[in-house]
Amino acid sequence: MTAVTRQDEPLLEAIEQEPRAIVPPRIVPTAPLEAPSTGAAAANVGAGTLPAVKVAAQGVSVHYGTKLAVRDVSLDVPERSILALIGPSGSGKSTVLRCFNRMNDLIPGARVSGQVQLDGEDLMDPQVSVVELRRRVGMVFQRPNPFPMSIYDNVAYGPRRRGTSNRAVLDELVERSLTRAALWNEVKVDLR
Amino acid sequence: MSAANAPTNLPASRLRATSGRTILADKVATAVLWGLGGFVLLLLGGIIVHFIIASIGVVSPSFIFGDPSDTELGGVGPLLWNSIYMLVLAMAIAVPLGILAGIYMAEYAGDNRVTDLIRFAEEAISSVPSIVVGLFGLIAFVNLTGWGFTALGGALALTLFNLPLMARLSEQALRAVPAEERSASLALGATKWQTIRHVVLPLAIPGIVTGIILTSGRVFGEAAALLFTAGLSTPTHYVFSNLNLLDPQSPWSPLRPATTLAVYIWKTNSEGLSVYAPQIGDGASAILLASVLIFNLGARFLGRSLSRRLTAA
Repeated sequence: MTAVTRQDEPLLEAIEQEPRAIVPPRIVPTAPLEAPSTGAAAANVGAGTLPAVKVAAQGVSVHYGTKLAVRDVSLDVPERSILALIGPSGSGKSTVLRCFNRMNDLIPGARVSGQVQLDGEDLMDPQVSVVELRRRVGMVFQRPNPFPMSIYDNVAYGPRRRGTSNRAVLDELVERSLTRAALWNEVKVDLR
Repeated sequence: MSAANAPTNLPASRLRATSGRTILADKVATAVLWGLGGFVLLLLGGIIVHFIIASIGVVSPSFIFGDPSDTELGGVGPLLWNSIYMLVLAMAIAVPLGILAGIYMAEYAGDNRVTDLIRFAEEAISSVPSIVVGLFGLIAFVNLTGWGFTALGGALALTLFNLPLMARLSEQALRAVPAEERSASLALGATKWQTIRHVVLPLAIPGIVTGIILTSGRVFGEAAALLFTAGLSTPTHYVFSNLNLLDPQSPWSPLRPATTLAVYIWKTNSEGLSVYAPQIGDGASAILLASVLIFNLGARFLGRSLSRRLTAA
Protein backbone atom coordinates (compact mmCIF):
# COMPACT_ATOMS: atom_id res chain seq x y z
CA MET A 1 0.00 0.00 0.00
CA THR A 2 1.18 3.52 -0.73
CA ALA A 3 1.12 6.26 1.82
CA VAL A 4 -2.10 8.15 2.17
CA THR A 5 -1.67 11.73 1.07
CA ARG A 6 -3.73 14.69 2.06
CA GLN A 7 -5.49 14.65 -1.29
CA ASP A 8 -6.81 11.15 -0.73
CA GLU A 9 -8.53 12.02 2.52
CA PRO A 10 -11.97 13.06 1.26
CA LEU A 11 -12.09 10.03 -0.96
CA LEU A 12 -11.09 7.68 1.81
CA GLU A 13 -13.55 9.34 4.13
CA ALA A 14 -16.30 8.69 1.64
CA ILE A 15 -15.26 5.08 1.30
CA GLU A 16 -15.29 4.64 5.06
CA GLN A 17 -18.82 6.00 5.36
CA GLU A 18 -21.77 4.08 6.68
CA PRO A 19 -23.52 2.08 3.98
CA ARG A 20 -25.97 4.70 2.80
CA ALA A 21 -25.74 7.25 0.06
CA ILE A 22 -23.92 10.29 1.40
CA VAL A 23 -23.79 13.29 -0.85
CA PRO A 24 -23.15 16.94 -0.25
CA PRO A 25 -26.37 18.94 0.03
CA ARG A 26 -25.44 21.00 -2.97
CA ILE A 27 -22.90 20.26 -5.64
CA VAL A 28 -20.96 23.20 -6.93
CA PRO A 29 -19.68 22.75 -10.47
CA THR A 30 -15.94 22.96 -10.88
CA ALA A 31 -15.99 25.09 -13.99
CA PRO A 32 -18.04 28.21 -14.74
CA LEU A 33 -21.04 27.41 -16.86
CA GLU A 34 -22.94 29.33 -19.48
CA ALA A 35 -26.05 31.18 -18.46
CA PRO A 36 -28.94 28.76 -18.17
CA SER A 37 -31.52 28.86 -20.90
CA THR A 38 -34.25 26.43 -19.90
CA GLY A 39 -37.54 27.51 -18.41
CA ALA A 40 -36.86 26.08 -15.02
CA ALA A 41 -33.61 27.98 -14.94
CA ALA A 42 -35.32 31.34 -15.02
CA ALA A 43 -35.50 31.45 -11.24
CA ASN A 44 -31.75 31.40 -11.09
CA VAL A 45 -31.10 34.30 -13.44
CA GLY A 46 -30.52 36.68 -10.57
CA ALA A 47 -27.93 34.41 -9.11
CA GLY A 48 -25.47 35.24 -11.85
CA THR A 49 -23.07 32.37 -12.32
CA LEU A 50 -25.11 29.87 -10.32
CA PRO A 51 -26.36 27.30 -12.82
CA ALA A 52 -29.89 25.96 -12.98
CA VAL A 53 -30.77 22.80 -11.15
CA LYS A 54 -31.43 20.03 -13.65
CA VAL A 55 -32.13 17.15 -11.35
CA ALA A 56 -33.11 17.46 -7.73
CA ALA A 57 -33.77 14.94 -5.02
CA GLN A 58 -35.43 15.92 -1.76
CA GLY A 59 -35.51 13.52 1.18
CA VAL A 60 -35.42 10.42 -0.99
CA SER A 61 -35.56 7.06 0.72
CA VAL A 62 -35.81 3.72 -1.03
CA HIS A 63 -37.02 0.47 0.45
CA TYR A 64 -36.66 -2.95 -1.12
CA GLY A 65 -39.36 -4.81 0.67
CA THR A 66 -38.69 -4.08 4.33
CA LYS A 67 -35.01 -3.35 3.75
CA LEU A 68 -34.01 0.30 3.74
CA ALA A 69 -31.57 0.73 0.87
CA VAL A 70 -31.24 4.53 0.78
CA ARG A 71 -32.12 6.92 3.59
CA ASP A 72 -33.05 10.56 3.19
CA VAL A 73 -30.93 11.69 0.27
CA SER A 74 -31.15 15.29 -0.87
CA LEU A 75 -29.10 16.71 -3.68
CA ASP A 76 -29.30 19.25 -6.47
CA VAL A 77 -27.51 18.50 -9.70
CA PRO A 78 -26.81 21.59 -11.79
CA GLU A 79 -27.20 21.30 -15.53
CA ARG A 80 -24.11 20.52 -17.59
CA SER A 81 -22.20 19.22 -14.68
CA ILE A 82 -20.69 15.91 -13.77
CA LEU A 83 -21.48 14.42 -10.39
CA ALA A 84 -19.78 11.40 -8.92
CA LEU A 85 -21.35 9.32 -6.18
CA ILE A 86 -18.72 7.44 -4.23
CA GLY A 87 -19.37 4.76 -1.68
CA PRO A 88 -18.71 1.15 -0.81
CA SER A 89 -20.43 -1.71 -2.57
CA GLY A 90 -24.07 -1.93 -1.56
CA SER A 91 -24.28 1.61 -0.21
CA GLY A 92 -27.09 2.59 -2.56
CA LYS A 93 -25.32 4.52 -5.32
CA SER A 94 -27.12 2.70 -8.11
CA THR A 95 -30.38 2.85 -6.22
CA VAL A 96 -30.13 6.64 -6.06
CA LEU A 97 -29.33 6.74 -9.77
CA ARG A 98 -32.30 4.54 -10.58
CA CYS A 99 -34.57 7.10 -8.93
CA PHE A 100 -33.76 9.56 -11.70
CA ASN A 101 -35.26 7.45 -14.47
CA ARG A 102 -37.67 5.44 -12.36
CA MET A 103 -35.84 2.17 -12.94
CA ASN A 104 -36.75 1.23 -9.38
CA ASP A 105 -40.29 0.75 -10.69
CA LEU A 106 -39.09 -2.46 -12.31
CA ILE A 107 -37.91 -4.02 -9.08
CA PRO A 108 -40.71 -5.89 -7.34
CA GLY A 109 -41.22 -4.58 -3.81
CA ALA A 110 -39.21 -1.39 -4.33
CA ARG A 111 -40.71 1.73 -2.75
CA VAL A 112 -39.39 5.24 -3.26
CA SER A 113 -40.41 8.08 -0.96
CA GLY A 114 -39.45 11.75 -1.09
CA GLN A 115 -39.30 13.98 -4.11
CA VAL A 116 -37.34 13.70 -7.34
CA GLN A 117 -37.50 16.45 -9.93
CA LEU A 118 -36.29 16.94 -13.46
CA ASP A 119 -36.39 20.59 -14.58
CA GLY A 120 -38.66 21.24 -11.62
CA GLU A 121 -41.14 18.57 -12.68
CA ASP A 122 -42.08 15.84 -10.21
CA LEU A 123 -40.83 12.52 -11.58
CA MET A 124 -42.77 10.40 -9.15
CA ASP A 125 -46.09 11.70 -10.40
CA PRO A 126 -48.11 8.70 -11.57
CA GLN A 127 -49.03 10.76 -14.65
CA VAL A 128 -45.40 10.90 -15.77
CA SER A 129 -44.71 8.62 -18.72
CA VAL A 130 -41.72 6.51 -17.72
CA VAL A 131 -41.00 5.85 -21.39
CA GLU A 132 -40.73 9.58 -22.09
CA LEU A 133 -38.68 10.06 -18.92
CA ARG A 134 -36.21 7.31 -19.80
CA ARG A 135 -35.78 8.74 -23.27
CA ARG A 136 -34.54 11.93 -21.63
CA VAL A 137 -32.65 10.46 -18.70
CA GLY A 138 -30.12 8.00 -20.05
CA MET A 139 -28.45 5.35 -17.99
CA VAL A 140 -25.32 3.28 -18.39
CA PHE A 141 -25.30 0.13 -16.32
CA GLN A 142 -22.53 -1.20 -14.17
CA ARG A 143 -22.28 -4.21 -16.44
CA PRO A 144 -22.31 -3.44 -20.17
CA ASN A 145 -25.24 -5.13 -21.84
CA PRO A 146 -25.05 -5.31 -25.62
CA PHE A 147 -28.22 -6.67 -27.20
CA PRO A 148 -28.00 -9.80 -29.33
CA MET A 149 -27.87 -7.82 -32.55
CA SER A 150 -25.33 -6.02 -34.71
CA ILE A 151 -23.24 -3.13 -33.43
CA TYR A 152 -25.19 -0.79 -35.68
CA ASP A 153 -28.54 -2.04 -34.39
CA ASN A 154 -27.30 -1.78 -30.82
CA VAL A 155 -26.33 1.87 -31.17
CA ALA A 156 -29.47 2.69 -33.14
CA TYR A 157 -31.71 0.82 -30.71
CA GLY A 158 -32.92 3.80 -28.66
CA PRO A 159 -33.57 6.22 -31.53
CA ARG A 160 -35.33 3.52 -33.53
CA ARG A 161 -37.69 2.77 -30.67
CA ARG A 162 -38.73 6.40 -30.61
CA GLY A 163 -39.50 6.25 -34.30
CA THR A 164 -36.36 7.36 -36.11
CA SER A 165 -36.13 5.22 -39.23
CA ASN A 166 -34.38 7.56 -41.66
CA ARG A 167 -31.29 5.70 -42.78
CA ALA A 168 -29.11 8.78 -43.25
CA VAL A 169 -30.02 10.11 -39.80
CA LEU A 170 -29.28 6.77 -38.16
CA ASP A 171 -26.03 6.31 -40.09
CA GLU A 172 -24.85 9.72 -38.96
CA LEU A 173 -25.95 9.06 -35.39
CA VAL A 174 -24.23 5.69 -35.20
CA GLU A 175 -21.00 7.06 -36.60
CA ARG A 176 -21.03 10.08 -34.30
CA SER A 177 -21.79 8.00 -31.20
CA LEU A 178 -19.12 5.43 -31.95
CA THR A 179 -16.58 8.13 -32.78
CA ARG A 180 -17.27 9.85 -29.47
CA ALA A 181 -16.85 6.55 -27.69
CA ALA A 182 -13.51 6.15 -29.50
CA LEU A 183 -14.72 2.92 -31.06
CA TRP A 184 -15.48 3.97 -34.62
CA ASN A 185 -12.15 3.06 -36.20
CA GLU A 186 -12.15 -0.30 -34.50
CA VAL A 187 -15.68 -1.39 -35.35
CA LYS A 188 -16.59 0.47 -38.53
CA VAL A 189 -15.94 -2.62 -40.66
CA ASP A 190 -18.04 -4.90 -38.41
CA LEU A 191 -21.07 -2.69 -37.94
CA ARG A 192 -23.54 -5.27 -39.21
CA MET B 1 0.73 -30.81 -11.75
CA SER B 2 3.68 -32.89 -10.62
CA ALA B 3 4.69 -33.66 -7.06
CA ALA B 4 7.86 -31.65 -7.54
CA ASN B 5 5.76 -28.49 -7.56
CA ALA B 6 4.26 -29.16 -4.15
CA PRO B 7 5.54 -26.95 -1.33
CA THR B 8 8.08 -28.99 0.62
CA ASN B 9 6.80 -27.88 4.03
CA LEU B 10 3.47 -29.67 3.47
CA PRO B 11 3.36 -33.33 4.42
CA ALA B 12 3.30 -35.08 1.08
CA SER B 13 1.17 -37.99 2.28
CA ARG B 14 -1.70 -35.75 3.36
CA LEU B 15 -1.55 -33.91 0.07
CA ARG B 16 -1.81 -37.16 -1.84
CA ALA B 17 -4.60 -38.51 0.33
CA THR B 18 -6.97 -35.56 -0.07
CA SER B 19 -6.42 -34.87 -3.73
CA GLY B 20 -6.46 -38.59 -4.49
CA ARG B 21 -10.00 -39.01 -3.20
CA THR B 22 -11.31 -35.88 -4.91
CA ILE B 23 -9.65 -36.80 -8.15
CA LEU B 24 -11.12 -40.28 -7.95
CA ALA B 25 -14.61 -38.81 -7.37
CA ASP B 26 -14.06 -36.49 -10.30
CA LYS B 27 -13.01 -39.34 -12.54
CA VAL B 28 -15.91 -41.51 -11.44
CA ALA B 29 -18.37 -38.68 -12.09
CA THR B 30 -16.89 -38.09 -15.53
CA ALA B 31 -16.98 -41.77 -16.38
CA VAL B 32 -20.56 -42.22 -15.17
CA LEU B 33 -21.82 -39.18 -17.07
CA TRP B 34 -19.98 -40.16 -20.24
CA GLY B 35 -21.29 -43.68 -19.84
CA LEU B 36 -24.90 -42.56 -19.43
CA GLY B 37 -24.60 -40.15 -22.34
CA GLY B 38 -23.10 -42.88 -24.50
CA PHE B 39 -25.85 -45.29 -23.47
CA VAL B 40 -28.57 -42.85 -24.50
CA LEU B 41 -26.83 -42.21 -27.81
CA LEU B 42 -26.44 -45.93 -28.37
CA LEU B 43 -30.14 -46.47 -27.66
CA LEU B 44 -31.08 -43.73 -30.09
CA GLY B 45 -28.66 -45.01 -32.71
CA GLY B 46 -30.00 -48.52 -32.19
CA ILE B 47 -33.57 -47.46 -32.87
CA ILE B 48 -32.57 -45.55 -35.98
CA VAL B 49 -30.39 -48.36 -37.31
CA HIS B 50 -33.14 -50.89 -36.60
CA PHE B 51 -35.67 -48.98 -38.66
CA ILE B 52 -33.22 -48.22 -41.44
CA ILE B 53 -32.48 -51.94 -41.76
CA ALA B 54 -36.14 -52.92 -41.38
CA SER B 55 -37.23 -50.44 -44.01
CA ILE B 56 -34.83 -51.75 -46.64
CA GLY B 57 -36.91 -53.34 -49.34
CA VAL B 58 -40.09 -51.71 -48.02
CA VAL B 59 -39.56 -47.98 -48.32
CA SER B 60 -39.48 -46.82 -51.90
CA PRO B 61 -41.04 -43.86 -53.67
CA SER B 62 -44.09 -45.99 -54.44
CA PHE B 63 -44.41 -46.86 -50.72
CA ILE B 64 -44.02 -43.28 -49.57
CA PHE B 65 -46.41 -41.76 -52.07
CA GLY B 66 -48.55 -44.75 -53.01
CA ASP B 67 -52.04 -45.63 -51.84
CA PRO B 68 -52.64 -48.21 -49.11
CA SER B 69 -53.84 -51.65 -50.00
CA ASP B 70 -55.27 -54.65 -48.12
CA THR B 71 -53.97 -57.26 -50.50
CA GLU B 72 -50.45 -56.09 -51.36
CA LEU B 73 -47.77 -53.98 -49.68
CA GLY B 74 -49.28 -50.78 -51.00
CA GLY B 75 -48.16 -47.37 -49.78
CA VAL B 76 -48.74 -44.81 -47.06
CA GLY B 77 -49.08 -41.66 -49.18
CA PRO B 78 -52.50 -40.51 -47.90
CA LEU B 79 -51.52 -41.31 -44.31
CA LEU B 80 -48.29 -39.36 -44.56
CA TRP B 81 -50.25 -36.52 -46.08
CA ASN B 82 -52.72 -36.69 -43.18
CA SER B 83 -49.88 -36.58 -40.65
CA ILE B 84 -48.41 -33.48 -42.25
CA TYR B 85 -51.85 -31.92 -42.63
CA MET B 86 -52.66 -32.62 -39.00
CA LEU B 87 -49.29 -31.27 -37.91
CA VAL B 88 -49.83 -27.98 -39.76
CA LEU B 89 -53.39 -27.67 -38.49
CA ALA B 90 -52.54 -28.49 -34.87
CA MET B 91 -49.47 -26.27 -34.84
CA ALA B 92 -51.35 -23.41 -36.48
CA ILE B 93 -53.65 -23.45 -33.45
CA ALA B 94 -51.21 -24.27 -30.66
CA VAL B 95 -48.09 -22.28 -31.60
CA PRO B 96 -49.44 -18.71 -31.93
CA LEU B 97 -51.83 -19.10 -29.00
CA GLY B 98 -49.20 -20.84 -26.90
CA ILE B 99 -46.57 -18.18 -27.53
CA LEU B 100 -49.02 -15.36 -26.81
CA ALA B 101 -50.14 -17.10 -23.63
CA GLY B 102 -46.48 -17.61 -22.68
CA ILE B 103 -45.74 -13.92 -23.26
CA TYR B 104 -48.69 -12.98 -21.09
CA MET B 105 -47.70 -15.36 -18.32
CA ALA B 106 -44.03 -14.38 -18.35
CA GLU B 107 -44.23 -10.63 -18.91
CA TYR B 108 -47.63 -9.38 -17.81
CA ALA B 109 -49.40 -11.73 -15.42
CA GLY B 110 -46.93 -11.53 -12.55
CA ASP B 111 -46.74 -13.99 -9.71
CA ASN B 112 -49.79 -14.58 -7.60
CA ARG B 113 -52.11 -17.37 -6.61
CA VAL B 114 -54.11 -17.20 -9.85
CA THR B 115 -51.03 -17.50 -12.06
CA ASP B 116 -49.68 -20.29 -9.88
CA LEU B 117 -52.97 -22.10 -10.41
CA ILE B 118 -52.76 -21.52 -14.17
CA ARG B 119 -49.23 -22.89 -14.28
CA PHE B 120 -50.27 -25.92 -12.27
CA ALA B 121 -53.23 -26.46 -14.60
CA GLU B 122 -51.02 -26.14 -17.68
CA GLU B 123 -48.67 -28.81 -16.41
CA ALA B 124 -51.48 -31.05 -15.27
CA ILE B 125 -53.46 -30.86 -18.53
CA SER B 126 -50.43 -31.40 -20.73
CA SER B 127 -49.74 -34.67 -18.96
CA VAL B 128 -53.28 -36.08 -19.01
CA PRO B 129 -53.18 -39.55 -20.62
CA SER B 130 -53.87 -39.06 -24.30
CA ILE B 131 -56.57 -41.72 -24.43
CA VAL B 132 -58.53 -39.59 -21.95
CA VAL B 133 -58.00 -36.58 -24.17
CA GLY B 134 -59.23 -38.69 -27.09
CA LEU B 135 -62.42 -39.63 -25.26
CA PHE B 136 -63.01 -36.03 -24.27
CA GLY B 137 -62.44 -35.06 -27.90
CA LEU B 138 -65.00 -37.65 -28.97
CA ILE B 139 -67.61 -35.96 -26.79
CA ALA B 140 -66.61 -32.38 -27.51
CA PHE B 141 -65.38 -32.25 -31.10
CA VAL B 142 -67.13 -35.24 -32.67
CA ASN B 143 -70.52 -35.60 -31.06
CA LEU B 144 -71.30 -32.19 -29.58
CA THR B 145 -70.25 -30.34 -32.73
CA GLY B 146 -71.87 -32.94 -34.94
CA TRP B 147 -68.85 -32.96 -37.23
CA GLY B 148 -68.18 -36.67 -36.96
CA PHE B 149 -64.56 -37.79 -37.27
CA THR B 150 -62.61 -34.86 -38.71
CA ALA B 151 -59.05 -33.64 -39.03
CA LEU B 152 -60.12 -30.44 -37.29
CA GLY B 153 -61.57 -32.43 -34.38
CA GLY B 154 -58.30 -34.33 -34.13
CA ALA B 155 -56.26 -31.15 -34.23
CA LEU B 156 -58.43 -29.62 -31.49
CA ALA B 157 -57.99 -32.71 -29.33
CA LEU B 158 -54.23 -32.43 -29.80
CA THR B 159 -54.48 -28.74 -28.91
CA LEU B 160 -55.92 -29.72 -25.52
CA PHE B 161 -52.54 -30.89 -24.35
CA ASN B 162 -50.33 -29.05 -26.84
CA LEU B 163 -51.53 -25.55 -26.03
CA PRO B 164 -50.75 -25.74 -22.30
CA LEU B 165 -47.42 -27.39 -23.10
CA MET B 166 -46.56 -24.72 -25.64
CA ALA B 167 -47.63 -21.93 -23.26
CA ARG B 168 -45.62 -23.35 -20.39
CA LEU B 169 -42.48 -23.90 -22.47
CA SER B 170 -42.74 -20.45 -24.07
CA GLU B 171 -43.13 -18.88 -20.65
CA GLN B 172 -40.05 -20.69 -19.40
CA ALA B 173 -38.06 -19.65 -22.47
CA LEU B 174 -39.08 -16.01 -21.93
CA ARG B 175 -38.34 -16.12 -18.21
CA ALA B 176 -34.88 -17.46 -18.92
CA VAL B 177 -34.00 -14.17 -20.65
CA PRO B 178 -31.89 -12.20 -18.13
CA ALA B 179 -33.57 -9.24 -16.45
CA GLU B 180 -30.60 -7.07 -17.50
CA GLU B 181 -31.72 -7.32 -21.12
CA ARG B 182 -35.12 -5.92 -20.22
CA SER B 183 -33.68 -3.19 -18.00
CA ALA B 184 -31.21 -2.11 -20.68
CA SER B 185 -33.96 -1.78 -23.25
CA LEU B 186 -36.41 -0.04 -20.91
CA ALA B 187 -33.70 2.37 -19.75
CA LEU B 188 -33.31 3.46 -23.36
CA GLY B 189 -36.92 4.55 -23.40
CA ALA B 190 -38.33 1.50 -25.15
CA THR B 191 -41.87 0.54 -24.24
CA LYS B 192 -42.66 -2.80 -22.70
CA TRP B 193 -43.93 -4.24 -25.97
CA GLN B 194 -40.92 -2.91 -27.91
CA THR B 195 -38.69 -4.56 -25.33
CA ILE B 196 -40.48 -7.88 -25.68
CA ARG B 197 -40.63 -7.69 -29.47
CA HIS B 198 -37.02 -6.59 -30.13
CA VAL B 199 -35.01 -8.00 -27.23
CA VAL B 200 -36.81 -10.63 -25.18
CA LEU B 201 -38.52 -12.66 -27.93
CA PRO B 202 -35.42 -13.01 -30.14
CA LEU B 203 -33.46 -14.26 -27.13
CA ALA B 204 -36.23 -16.70 -26.26
CA ILE B 205 -36.61 -18.11 -29.78
CA PRO B 206 -34.30 -21.11 -29.25
CA GLY B 207 -36.31 -22.13 -26.19
CA ILE B 208 -39.58 -21.54 -28.00
CA VAL B 209 -38.36 -23.64 -30.94
CA THR B 210 -37.61 -26.43 -28.47
CA GLY B 211 -41.21 -26.10 -27.32
CA ILE B 212 -42.45 -26.30 -30.90
CA ILE B 213 -40.36 -29.42 -31.55
CA LEU B 214 -41.60 -31.14 -28.39
CA THR B 215 -45.18 -30.23 -29.26
CA SER B 216 -44.84 -31.36 -32.86
CA GLY B 217 -43.37 -34.65 -31.71
CA ARG B 218 -46.60 -35.35 -29.88
CA VAL B 219 -48.63 -34.54 -32.99
CA PHE B 220 -46.55 -36.87 -35.17
CA GLY B 221 -46.51 -39.65 -32.65
CA GLU B 222 -50.00 -39.38 -31.16
CA ALA B 223 -52.39 -42.23 -31.86
CA ALA B 224 -54.65 -42.61 -28.85
CA ALA B 225 -56.04 -39.08 -28.88
CA LEU B 226 -56.75 -39.31 -32.60
CA LEU B 227 -58.47 -42.70 -32.72
CA PHE B 228 -61.81 -41.28 -31.66
CA THR B 229 -61.46 -37.79 -33.08
CA ALA B 230 -59.76 -37.83 -36.48
CA GLY B 231 -60.99 -41.34 -37.09
CA LEU B 232 -59.77 -44.65 -38.36
CA SER B 233 -61.46 -44.68 -41.73
CA THR B 234 -58.50 -44.97 -44.03
CA PRO B 235 -58.84 -43.03 -47.22
CA THR B 236 -57.39 -44.98 -50.11
CA HIS B 237 -56.77 -42.20 -52.54
CA TYR B 238 -56.61 -38.42 -52.59
CA VAL B 239 -57.15 -36.17 -55.58
CA PHE B 240 -55.04 -33.12 -54.81
CA SER B 241 -56.71 -31.04 -57.48
CA ASN B 242 -59.92 -31.22 -55.45
CA LEU B 243 -59.74 -27.88 -53.67
CA ASN B 244 -63.32 -27.87 -52.39
CA LEU B 245 -62.79 -27.40 -48.65
CA LEU B 246 -66.31 -28.58 -47.89
CA ASP B 247 -65.93 -31.86 -49.75
CA PRO B 248 -64.99 -34.66 -47.31
CA GLN B 249 -63.12 -36.35 -50.18
CA SER B 250 -60.79 -33.38 -50.66
CA PRO B 251 -57.33 -33.81 -49.07
CA TRP B 252 -57.40 -30.11 -48.20
CA SER B 253 -60.63 -30.18 -46.20
CA PRO B 254 -60.31 -29.89 -42.41
CA LEU B 255 -63.76 -31.44 -42.03
CA ARG B 256 -62.90 -34.93 -43.23
CA PRO B 257 -61.70 -38.03 -41.43
CA ALA B 258 -57.91 -38.12 -41.40
CA THR B 259 -56.00 -41.18 -40.28
CA THR B 260 -52.40 -40.23 -39.53
CA LEU B 261 -49.34 -42.37 -40.04
CA ALA B 262 -49.04 -43.14 -36.32
CA VAL B 263 -52.69 -44.20 -36.13
CA TYR B 264 -52.19 -46.30 -39.26
CA ILE B 265 -49.21 -48.10 -37.75
CA TRP B 266 -51.31 -48.93 -34.73
CA LYS B 267 -54.21 -50.01 -36.91
CA THR B 268 -52.34 -52.27 -39.32
CA ASN B 269 -50.60 -53.99 -36.43
CA SER B 270 -53.69 -54.48 -34.29
CA GLU B 271 -56.66 -54.96 -36.53
CA GLY B 272 -55.23 -54.79 -40.04
CA LEU B 273 -56.10 -57.48 -42.53
CA SER B 274 -52.95 -57.12 -44.61
CA VAL B 275 -50.40 -59.93 -44.49
CA TYR B 276 -47.80 -57.20 -45.01
CA ALA B 277 -48.65 -55.58 -41.65
CA PRO B 278 -45.12 -56.00 -40.16
CA GLN B 279 -43.46 -54.55 -43.27
CA ILE B 280 -45.94 -51.69 -43.44
CA GLY B 281 -45.30 -51.03 -39.75
CA ASP B 282 -41.53 -50.94 -40.21
CA GLY B 283 -41.66 -48.79 -43.34
CA ALA B 284 -44.19 -46.37 -41.87
CA SER B 285 -42.13 -46.09 -38.67
CA ALA B 286 -39.01 -45.28 -40.65
CA ILE B 287 -40.90 -42.60 -42.58
CA LEU B 288 -42.33 -41.20 -39.33
CA LEU B 289 -38.85 -41.07 -37.83
CA ALA B 290 -37.45 -39.36 -40.91
CA SER B 291 -40.33 -36.85 -40.91
CA VAL B 292 -39.69 -35.96 -37.28
CA LEU B 293 -35.99 -35.51 -38.00
CA ILE B 294 -36.65 -33.32 -41.03
CA PHE B 295 -39.19 -31.27 -39.09
CA ASN B 296 -36.82 -30.76 -36.13
CA LEU B 297 -33.94 -29.63 -38.32
CA GLY B 298 -36.31 -27.39 -40.28
CA ALA B 299 -37.69 -25.86 -37.08
CA ARG B 300 -34.18 -25.10 -35.78
CA PHE B 301 -33.22 -23.53 -39.08
CA LEU B 302 -36.39 -21.42 -39.24
CA GLY B 303 -35.93 -20.43 -35.60
CA ARG B 304 -32.46 -19.13 -36.30
CA SER B 305 -33.51 -17.06 -39.27
CA LEU B 306 -36.56 -15.80 -37.40
CA SER B 307 -34.38 -14.76 -34.49
CA ARG B 308 -32.17 -12.84 -36.89
CA ARG B 309 -35.16 -11.21 -38.53
CA LEU B 310 -36.63 -10.16 -35.19
CA THR B 311 -33.45 -8.52 -33.94
CA ALA B 312 -32.83 -6.60 -37.17
CA ALA B 313 -34.33 -3.11 -37.36
